[in-house]
Amino acid sequence: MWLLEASTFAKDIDNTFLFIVAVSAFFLIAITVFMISCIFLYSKKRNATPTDVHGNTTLEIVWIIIPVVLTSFMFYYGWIDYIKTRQVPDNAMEIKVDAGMWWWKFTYPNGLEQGSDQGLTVPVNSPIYLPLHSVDVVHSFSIPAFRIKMDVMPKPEGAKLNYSWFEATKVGDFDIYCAEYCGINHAQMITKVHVLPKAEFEKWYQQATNDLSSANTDGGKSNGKKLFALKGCIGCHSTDGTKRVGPSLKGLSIGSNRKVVTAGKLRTIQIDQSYLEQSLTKPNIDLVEGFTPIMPPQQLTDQERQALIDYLLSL
Amino acid sequence: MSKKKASQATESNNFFNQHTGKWTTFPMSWLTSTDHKRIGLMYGYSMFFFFGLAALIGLIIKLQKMYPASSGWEIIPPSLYGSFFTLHGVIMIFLFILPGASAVLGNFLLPLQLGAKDVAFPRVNLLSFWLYLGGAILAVVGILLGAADTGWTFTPPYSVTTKTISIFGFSFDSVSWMLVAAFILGWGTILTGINFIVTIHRMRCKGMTLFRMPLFSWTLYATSWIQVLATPVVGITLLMLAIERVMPVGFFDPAKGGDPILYQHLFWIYSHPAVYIMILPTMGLVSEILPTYCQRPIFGYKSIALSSCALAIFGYFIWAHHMFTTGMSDFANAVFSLLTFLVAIPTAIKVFNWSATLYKASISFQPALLFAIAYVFNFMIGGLTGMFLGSLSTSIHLHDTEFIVAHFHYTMFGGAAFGLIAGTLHYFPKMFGRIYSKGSAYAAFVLMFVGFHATYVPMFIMGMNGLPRRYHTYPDIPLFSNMQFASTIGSWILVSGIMLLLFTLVRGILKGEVTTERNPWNSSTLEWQTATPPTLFNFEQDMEVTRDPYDYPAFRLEQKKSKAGGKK
Amino acid sequence: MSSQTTSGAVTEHSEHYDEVGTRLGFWLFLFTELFLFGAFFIVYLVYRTTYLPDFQTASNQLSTVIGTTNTIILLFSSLTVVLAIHYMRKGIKKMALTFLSITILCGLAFLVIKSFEWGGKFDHNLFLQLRGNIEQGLGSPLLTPGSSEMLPMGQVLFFGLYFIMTGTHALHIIIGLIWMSVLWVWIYQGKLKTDRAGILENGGLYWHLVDLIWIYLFPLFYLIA
Repeated sequence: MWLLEASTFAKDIDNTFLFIVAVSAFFLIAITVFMISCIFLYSKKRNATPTDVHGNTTLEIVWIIIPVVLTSFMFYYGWIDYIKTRQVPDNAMEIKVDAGMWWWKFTYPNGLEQGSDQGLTVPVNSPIYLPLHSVDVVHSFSIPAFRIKMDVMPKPEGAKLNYSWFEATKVGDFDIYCAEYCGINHAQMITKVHVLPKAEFEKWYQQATNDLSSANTDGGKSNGKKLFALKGCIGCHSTDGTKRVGPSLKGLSIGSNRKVVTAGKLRTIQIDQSYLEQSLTKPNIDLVEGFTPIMPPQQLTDQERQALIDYLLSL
Repeated sequence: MSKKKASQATESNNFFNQHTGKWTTFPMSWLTSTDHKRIGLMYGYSMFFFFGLAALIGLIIKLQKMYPASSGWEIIPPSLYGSFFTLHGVIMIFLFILPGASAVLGNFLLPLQLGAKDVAFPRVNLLSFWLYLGGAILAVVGILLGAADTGWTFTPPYSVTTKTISIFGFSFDSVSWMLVAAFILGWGTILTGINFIVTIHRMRCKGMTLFRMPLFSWTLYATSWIQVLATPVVGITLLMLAIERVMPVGFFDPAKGGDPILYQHLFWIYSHPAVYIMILPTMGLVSEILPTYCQRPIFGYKSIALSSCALAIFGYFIWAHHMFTTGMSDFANAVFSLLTFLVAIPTAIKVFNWSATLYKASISFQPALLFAIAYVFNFMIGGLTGMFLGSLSTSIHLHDTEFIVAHFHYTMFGGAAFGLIAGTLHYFPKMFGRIYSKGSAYAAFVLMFVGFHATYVPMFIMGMNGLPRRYHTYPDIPLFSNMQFASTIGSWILVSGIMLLLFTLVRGILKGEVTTERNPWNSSTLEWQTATPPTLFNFEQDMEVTRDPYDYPAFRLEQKKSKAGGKK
Repeated sequence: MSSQTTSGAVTEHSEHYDEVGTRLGFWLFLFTELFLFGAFFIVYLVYRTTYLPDFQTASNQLSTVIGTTNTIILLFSSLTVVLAIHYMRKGIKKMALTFLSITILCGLAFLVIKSFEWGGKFDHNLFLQLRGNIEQGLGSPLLTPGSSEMLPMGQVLFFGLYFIMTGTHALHIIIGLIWMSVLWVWIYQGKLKTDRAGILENGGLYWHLVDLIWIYLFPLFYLIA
């Protein structure tokens, strides 16, 4: 495989993979060569009278035993690799993963939250434990470079969550995909895992902790740009004018006109504070023309709402 | 059609010209016919139509992925992409490959192979076809009006909450339509299964013991049991999902207390055995084709017959290998991984026996044989790549990636569909009393074979690199964009091959050279001993079997005797 | 293997009736029906395990008297259908018709009682509301997520299962009734004679299956408290 092996699991899993590739290639080539040579050797021209072999019990038994033995090995290697991916070391750092249509959110032990735009930042050579929670449909948390994948299930409060864990062995940025079809923007539900050297990570993490505890930044909650990612807005709305599932929020300003559909009727309204608030809390009442009413109502504090509106108007 | 009738009327009593009325009543004479041969052909016409349709949709899906969206390439918008792959999947699976060889050739051949006049319940058989047609129309209309975008697996809670777009401006619940359509199609399948089981137990002609049945009948028998025992479960599961969409209960929606994993269990309890419904009959067809063109007994008749049954049984116990990443317990994962490897054994037995059948044979080369050999080759790749999906650690890495899609197409398209095509070409003269153009069949084969591998090999590679399936577009890195480009070009070759093949078949049916030769390939089984095309009740007299189906030495003796008798 | 004897033009299928084959096919069909309800039972058992207290509370709201009455009616009808088959085999048409009529009446009585029970549940807004209405806030508060009066999830699931399972069962009763009415007419007109009693027997088997399923449904919904 060309894919980087960037976690402690990757090497073992790739070895199992190569073992199966070797077995498969051998049988595929052997049987194909045998069939093709038979077709040439025993064509009607060359071999007018067939030999009537009805079967051979010894052979039948042999080719029952061969697959049994080989697949037993495949099962065994697959199992021992797998069980490692399920046994989380005690010293693992817990980063909670939330997923929704179509965004990711990573919550660190110190309360720091990172959205899809920032991605997951982790230290190299240290185990990371990831409880996975979905707020709507089934997603799947997949980092191919680490060879891990686990479905992110919506679960009732208090239920046992699915989890994944890894220990990165290479510094760098790797893709995180959603691997379970989750709707229109499934292919955009991509973010990165940034693996930093330990010292660098410690510095970054300390900085974040300091920022969070300092009073005037309010835990980053009033930072509109951050909220835009954490609340998942980023999953459907662009800030650069590209049309996505939802309308782009570029150039939004008080007083400008907008065509909306209200209760099935098209009308033009002027954007004002109350329209913006309503668009966040009851988004499907006045629907921007040409879009489907799929946005979920947002649970926001007054402060958060204002921070978001300020950010939107700044775009 | 009336001209055709005249030209085919060389044996006055064949099943084509049982209609003497006006042209207006002609369609009804087919749609209300309880003749298993007519029903088989009607399945064939509708299924190959849907096959062509879904292949074109697949072409558009591939075209969409030719370049990454970041380069400004967009053939279909993301909002419709989901509907396109759902449409492709639903048509290919529920309307084409699931009824598959057992509906077309099974209906046509089972009574012929057993020396019977018809299936056990001819009227129920017609009802099955109506259910199929009704379900098919419902599904196609449903998705055209409402653009369901759940994929053919209908995984909740997405399938519960998705709001489908209405193309004509009115609210239309396309997903529920599809679910109900699948339920109706399911009943068609169940009734066919019951019909075939009873036919095999009760209608075999004199002397035909179970172990004198041709292998295609054996696979139909195994398939029928799966159809009868597995389909009701999924039927009711899909119905519950449909009810959940219109009423405020939450059988599978966690927001209302339901459990989406329970749905996946119930769905795969059926849908895993269902892949054996798709593949088993075509394994039977290959087991008919190989000994015929080799002119020697099939190697290991009993082990092939029993391995079909083994596949049908094992198929029930491995469903959860579709769910390794859903968070099942480690123990359950281990058990299902181990059981999954069990399937390798009967599959390997079949492949080894087929290739051994070629040994020291006397092979006459025909398009049907070529497709059958390609079937074995493709199916080997499909089966061997299945090992990666049985082994836990590699399976989790490859799960829900393009690798799975490629694996599935290798078994279902390179396997099942190639096998069905091989069978159709093999039995073409018997079914229509005409001969198709061999040259154009070979050309179609080359295009299909080359195009097939060009389309799906790149998908294996992308999947190994982790690219998830059902992506409208993909990250713009050279590996993905090169592979997607190659795959798209491959799909053009493949679809042109499919179209040429369909053209060859249609032209053969309408304008092919007329033949009345009973046994053009010199086959030893019963279905070739009747007239071409067969008479209404198949055989002119009650049949009796005195030897094994592929006993070519005995068959050659019979031929010598009858020639000698003819000279006297 | 075959000789060229041409038979006369046959235009219609010859009468082919294989009683053993028909019965075999019918048993297979009954199996599929069992599997169909089997899927329901699996779902029921899973949620009953998860939400046992809710299920018990909800079950208390169903009337055991009505349930028991219906059970007795169905059991009785199973007996009468057996008697009808018995007399059919003996060729006593009149008795066969009488017992078949009683069976049909029992089925109808079952449906009438069932419809009263269902009606009561509708009046309490417990089911058969459209999801769309609920989402727009027009439905019963008992079923509206987020409403303070909303039933616990386990109870919503219980009633959901109750309606869909008894509903599917009622549908089977209706199919059975139509079937037996057709048989009644055939026997009355003399189309169905003693030599084809197997057809009536299959009808009876179907009716037994419907009863059998009810025997399972009854304790699962009415008696778990």
